[in-house]
Amino acid sequence: MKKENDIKNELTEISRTVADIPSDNPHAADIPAGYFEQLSGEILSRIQEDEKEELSESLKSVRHINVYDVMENYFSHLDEEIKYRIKDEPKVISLNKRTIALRYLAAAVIAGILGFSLVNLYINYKEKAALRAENELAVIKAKEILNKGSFNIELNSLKEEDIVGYLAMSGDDAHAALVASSIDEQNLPEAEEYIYNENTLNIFLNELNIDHQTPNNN
Amino acid sequence: MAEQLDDIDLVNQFKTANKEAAFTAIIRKYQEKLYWHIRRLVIQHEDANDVLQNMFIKVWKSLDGFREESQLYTWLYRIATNECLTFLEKQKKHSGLSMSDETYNLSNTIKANDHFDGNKLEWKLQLAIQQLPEKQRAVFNLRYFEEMPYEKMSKILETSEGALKANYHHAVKKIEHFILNH
Repeated sequence: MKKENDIKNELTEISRTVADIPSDNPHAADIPAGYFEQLSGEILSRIQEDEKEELSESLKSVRHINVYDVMENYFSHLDEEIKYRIKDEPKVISLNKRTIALRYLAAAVIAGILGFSLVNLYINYKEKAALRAENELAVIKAKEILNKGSFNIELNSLKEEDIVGYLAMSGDDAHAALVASSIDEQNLPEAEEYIYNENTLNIFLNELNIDHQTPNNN
Repeated sequence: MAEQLDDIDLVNQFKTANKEAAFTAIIRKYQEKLYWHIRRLVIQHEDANDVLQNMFIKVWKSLDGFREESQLYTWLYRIATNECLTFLEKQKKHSGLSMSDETYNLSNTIKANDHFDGNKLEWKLQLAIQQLPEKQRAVFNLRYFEEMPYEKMSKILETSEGALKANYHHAVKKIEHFILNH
């Protein structure tokens, strides 16, 4: 109260005219209804928006800062390196698949050798024609294998190189040529296809009393 | 509950506990006084609202660093007054107005108010206040409308009490002159 009186007295001393002006607030009527009730909520919403913007601004500012480094000239040689690697990349065929395929090939080839030799022997024998030297060798070898029951052992002992070499050499042999035509690794058929004529071979082998076993029964 | 706390408790609560609750309590405690202080300087409600909100946003950002040796009350008024003066300065630059043009502009704003009545003394007083330089206007408003002691005004306006007394005296005389001549 004393403070108010002091201020009032001070004003009266300076100007009675101003001191007598009514203290009504002429602007009070044009404040929107509920303004002060809503103000704090409005301010806090703006603060939250500002803080979101500031956060996204700071994220924007670090967008182009790379914390990782790379060897000098890495990108200038990258395309060459990729091309080089593509060129030198060996065709991936699993050893297992290749080995199995070659075993089938070998089975077919040996069966073919035996089959042709024994067929020739059989025919010649029936006609009582003279045996040719290679047939004799084939018969001897075939008998040896039959006697020992070592068909699978012989089959497994063949080297891949020998099988491939034989197939290349025996282009006139129908069976071998058929198999050899499949040696191109890019067109290598599934293993089952190598035995598509197995029934025919089985007939001959059965007639000759060969205990035929499929190679994958090793 | 928070409204019942004094300023030191509110500031401590802001710094250590529930920031938003403490800040809401501070706004509610001072919003009306600060609004009217701002409104009397910038005249239009929309401008007063902008300045008030911007001022509180600055307070939010700075309150963590607020030193408790100064009073929250005077600190808030100082920010509000500076925001008003900055706002008026920007307006002046933006529209290329001189001081007398700006006075004319603010007077026209008052006259454009739906409730304006040029025959009523309270409206004449409003027009008279616009004739004062900005800082003198702030001194007059704080002393006349808010009955603020010179000691507090000194902290807010960062001016000596003697200079403030002289300023207030000159302001009242100018207003008296305006009222007697209009």
